Amino acid sequence: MLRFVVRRLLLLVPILIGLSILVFVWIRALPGSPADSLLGERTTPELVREYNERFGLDDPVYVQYWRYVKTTAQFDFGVSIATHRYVTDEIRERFPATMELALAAMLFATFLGVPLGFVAAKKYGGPVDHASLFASLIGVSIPVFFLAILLKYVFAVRLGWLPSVGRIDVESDVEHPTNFYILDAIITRDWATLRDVIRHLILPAIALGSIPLAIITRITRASVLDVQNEDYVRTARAKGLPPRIVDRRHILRNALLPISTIIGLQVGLLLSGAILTETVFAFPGMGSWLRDAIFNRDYPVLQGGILFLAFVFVIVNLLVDISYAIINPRIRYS
Amino acid sequence: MSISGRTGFARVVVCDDRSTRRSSEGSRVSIVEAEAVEVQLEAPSGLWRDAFHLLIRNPGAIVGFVFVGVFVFAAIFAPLIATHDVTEQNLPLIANGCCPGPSGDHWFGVDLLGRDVFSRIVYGARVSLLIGLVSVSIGLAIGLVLGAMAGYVGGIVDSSIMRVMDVMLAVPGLLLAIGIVAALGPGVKEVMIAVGLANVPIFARLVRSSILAQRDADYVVAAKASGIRRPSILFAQILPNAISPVIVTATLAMATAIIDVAGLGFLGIGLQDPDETPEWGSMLTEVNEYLQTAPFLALIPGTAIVISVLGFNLIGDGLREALDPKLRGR
Amino acid sequence: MAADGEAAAERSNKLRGRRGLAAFVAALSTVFVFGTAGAATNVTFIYAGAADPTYLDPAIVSDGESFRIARQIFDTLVQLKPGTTKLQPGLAKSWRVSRNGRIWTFSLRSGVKFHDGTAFNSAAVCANFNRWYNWTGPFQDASASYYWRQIFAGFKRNEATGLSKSLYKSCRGIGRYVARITLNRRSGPFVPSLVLPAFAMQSPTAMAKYGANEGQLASGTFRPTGTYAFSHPTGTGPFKFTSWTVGQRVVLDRNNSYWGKRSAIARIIVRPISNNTARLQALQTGEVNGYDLVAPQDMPTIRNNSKLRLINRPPFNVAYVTINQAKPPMNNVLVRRAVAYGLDRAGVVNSFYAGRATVAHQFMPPAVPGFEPKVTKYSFNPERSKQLLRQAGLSLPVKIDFYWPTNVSRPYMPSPNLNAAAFKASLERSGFDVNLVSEPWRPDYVKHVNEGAGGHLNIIGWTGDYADADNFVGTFFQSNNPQFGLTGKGAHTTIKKLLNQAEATVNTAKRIKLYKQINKLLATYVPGVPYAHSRPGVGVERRVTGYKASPVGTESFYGVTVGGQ
Repeated sequence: MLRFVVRRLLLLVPILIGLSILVFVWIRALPGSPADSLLGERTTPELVREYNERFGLDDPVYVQYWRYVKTTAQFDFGVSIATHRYVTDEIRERFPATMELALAAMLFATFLGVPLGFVAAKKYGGPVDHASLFASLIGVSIPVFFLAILLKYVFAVRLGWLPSVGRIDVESDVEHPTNFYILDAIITRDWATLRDVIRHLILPAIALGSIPLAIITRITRASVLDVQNEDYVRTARAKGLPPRIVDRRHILRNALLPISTIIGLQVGLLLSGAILTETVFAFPGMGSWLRDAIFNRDYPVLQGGILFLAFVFVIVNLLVDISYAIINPRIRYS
Repeated sequence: MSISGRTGFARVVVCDDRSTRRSSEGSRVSIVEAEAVEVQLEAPSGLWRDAFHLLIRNPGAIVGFVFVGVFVFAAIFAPLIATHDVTEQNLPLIANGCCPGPSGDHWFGVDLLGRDVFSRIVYGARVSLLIGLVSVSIGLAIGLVLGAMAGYVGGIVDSSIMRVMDVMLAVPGLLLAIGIVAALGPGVKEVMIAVGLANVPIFARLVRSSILAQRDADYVVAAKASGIRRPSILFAQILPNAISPVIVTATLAMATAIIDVAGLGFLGIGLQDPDETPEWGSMLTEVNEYLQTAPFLALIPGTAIVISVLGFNLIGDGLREALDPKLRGR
Repeated sequence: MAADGEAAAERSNKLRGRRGLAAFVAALSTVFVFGTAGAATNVTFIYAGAADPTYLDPAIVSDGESFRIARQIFDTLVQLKPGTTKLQPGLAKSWRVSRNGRIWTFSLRSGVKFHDGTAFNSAAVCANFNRWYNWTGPFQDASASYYWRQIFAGFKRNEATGLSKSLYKSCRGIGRYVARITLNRRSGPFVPSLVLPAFAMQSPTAMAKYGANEGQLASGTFRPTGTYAFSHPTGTGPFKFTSWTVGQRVVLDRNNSYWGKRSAIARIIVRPISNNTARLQALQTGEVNGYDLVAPQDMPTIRNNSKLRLINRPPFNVAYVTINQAKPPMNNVLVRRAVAYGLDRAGVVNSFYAGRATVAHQFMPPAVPGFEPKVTKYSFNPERSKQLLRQAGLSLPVKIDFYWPTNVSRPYMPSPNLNAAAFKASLERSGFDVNLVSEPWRPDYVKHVNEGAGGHLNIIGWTGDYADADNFVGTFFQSNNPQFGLTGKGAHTTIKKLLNQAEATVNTAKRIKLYKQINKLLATYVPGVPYAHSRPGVGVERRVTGYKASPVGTESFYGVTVGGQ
């Protein structure tokens, strides 16, 4: 087991190096230079020239790359061109927001999807089954941003039940030491804020979780169907165990194996969905941050943000693999 | 069980297959596999005949064909169907602010610039279809070549190609497309390339798996034993059998392409001039601020997207069920 | 203030132990202190801007949100009469210039103290000017000292290539309340520019104590490394700085030792809300008392709400179509006049500005001295346009590229796409064949237009920084601006000469005459076609009174009151 983990950890290093090169190349490939938009209408060609000169943007590529590696290794991602704040500070605020949103979306998808898939499998071939399949299909066919707009329109604009933008009430005066608003609210037992934060999370989480929901439902259903016909289940039934215990102990537990692997795979989906969802709801997470950065050609933000996200992504995949290896011993010895 | 497709944006197809299987490919980074659909090892002709019969009896697939049919019809016959010129602005209509809704003159109402929404939707179908077809073709073509090379040649070629594919697959589809378009600049061509490239690893993997699975199949071994040369085996025997999952994947990829293009349009990182070239996703961009006054501006393009994507997904699912014998009887 | 006191007490109760008790007591005392200060003046004014300030030191910023905060904390030597572009005394009671036009003597207000107790006097004035003049290294970058560079052109030791000899020579205090500033040349814009928050008077003691002159360039952007610009801005203004929670709010409290009448507002809270709809909603629900940068589509909503009021800023911007003379046939003045006749400006202004703009006929808004009401006006006349084109020997239609920006909304141009489309339609009726090209505002559009790499025609605009014609027509036409493809030949030579003359004239009346002449010339030379002056909107609750919206985009909340508190 340890050998396995160590092996995977060692793989991290070349992956990170590769990613950093990729990000560096990509940034250089973006048309234009940061100077072009520094001062809006007030930018002049002379100012741009001066900027390029001052920041060695005319230096040879390897010099720039080395500078990039040096600063990145010290976790110095520089300063956002748009806000003049340290990129690391902005990551510290934005990432927890997206994490909360992603977790909420996954919770929604899992706690709705697993029971739904289970019931659909149990009532195989019936209307519930067909309905769930159809709903899954719709789930992957609706673009996330359209679903977000729909939800916003119905529940926020028309019905007014839930807020339409943001992460928290604008009036809120509360401190957020960890930037995980829910965690902070729980720690300080600030139930009013907790309620407020949750209310702001509901619609974006549903929109973001729609596709994972569809997938999880479908996989649970398939998984349960598979397991149902396995020998050990038949044995358990033959033994006379009550159906509920058969369900819980044998079917569900084994069916959950592949489901848990799927959850790890969702990270990529959640990331791309986050960009769209956060834009619709003006949710201050990494998604809207990066989107704005692309528009504003905010290179330091793009460089630091993307590298950070890629890193997180790799780590999450690693954790998923490790956990899968723990759950399924057969894998370790491949 | 296996899941088909990439873990990208909006596009995963679940195939209800048997036990969880470890991947046979050593080249993967992650244990958890997004495996290709199981390949049918029957002889080709029986497969198609049976598949056709199954498909016709699948109600979902029928609905899918209807949806896609409407979509393609609108795209092809756009100039005949559209009631107004796409760029013609009727400014007096919005002089009192946005925007008058559906009326006799303008079936879907009028947008921020006074343009007829119905005509823009119809022409938007054309844009989506065009971009979808071209990008899927790009992905398919390149992926096919790469996958075939990797699967058949094996060795270093295999592992290096698959490594690159793994890296590409690691990035979610939409993000990859955004990255490519940001670097290449906006424009129809660039969007096609971006979405197309995002499709390449899926097809490459798929083709490679098919070929690997087939390589050791009985009839291939027999052919080799009787001395038929390798390229001939590849073209005459292996590829035809590998085609069916590719068709399924291509159909589903069309669905994803339409969504990805809409996503790019929505974020404003897509076409150069979304006002001249109507695209469903970009029609949704500014709508956020007008939800209170003109919700139809959002609902109509969005519904168009959903219908066309749903259509392709239904067909793809139907095809998959029809073409995979293991799923029959489910 | 009572409501805030209650809220504070409530929150304090949630804290555990003695800290909670202490906070509770503190909150109560706050209520008492402010309570006894006079019930009618314990008002909190909550305002929403579009973003956080960048830094709190106005000398190193150029964005409106930073200026908004600065205008509450700092005073300038010269001020604008609220809601207008007229100059009036600020920290300087009066000023005069020497005969050679280069020595300005300011008589300063006495008895003024900075928020940290330092006395405001001529030494402080000279300390500020010399601070800016002596800047080195990262401070010389345009991302730090944009306005100093704009007005004063250079530093004591220029380190970058784009800088030239500074306008500023020296500052001398004559006694405690007279400051004499010597310039290297005559400058008409000098005094009007002093209304900029960038030239506000800051406490030399505080600046030294908190490292106001420590900074670095991080990934191409200037960033101060001392704490002055983040938590210790110290001025002489009616409000002083209390706290800044990034991304949440800036809190300012009344300066009870202000040299003027005490403000009716006791506390200002400025919140950044970047989403337009969210800002509107915050006003509708009463979470804020006012907000800036009202989106055009929200204006009817505010107007139709009886509890709210839409306040206009006097127009201080100009949206214009640049004509790039480097791209033939735009070098022919007849063609340019044809463009002027071919643009349906009235149509665009009436349709896309929600009734809040006027057609512009010159490159500066009416509020700026030097505005000439009698310039040549080109009303939409397709026939005349075609006639001129034929006269120029061209065959119709004349093919041109018209560039417009995406992903942007400016106060002078809230909907560029609509403007561009409408202009295309009107030009095509006037003998042109228009190819619309759009580019994202950042980075391509601005860059290309400024370099002259856009189309024959481009739309762009300008919001004034200070109330001087030089800030408008000087910026556009005093150099061989690539935006217009200017080469300094022909009529442009005369225009340049007059602009230089006007800049170097100190006598206000003479300058006005010169600028009027310039504007008349520009209207026949047609380097571009101005088309709109818009009135940006500020939304407030009806119970907010005394709010005088400044043309320059940010104002002091000094005279504002909020009824019913």
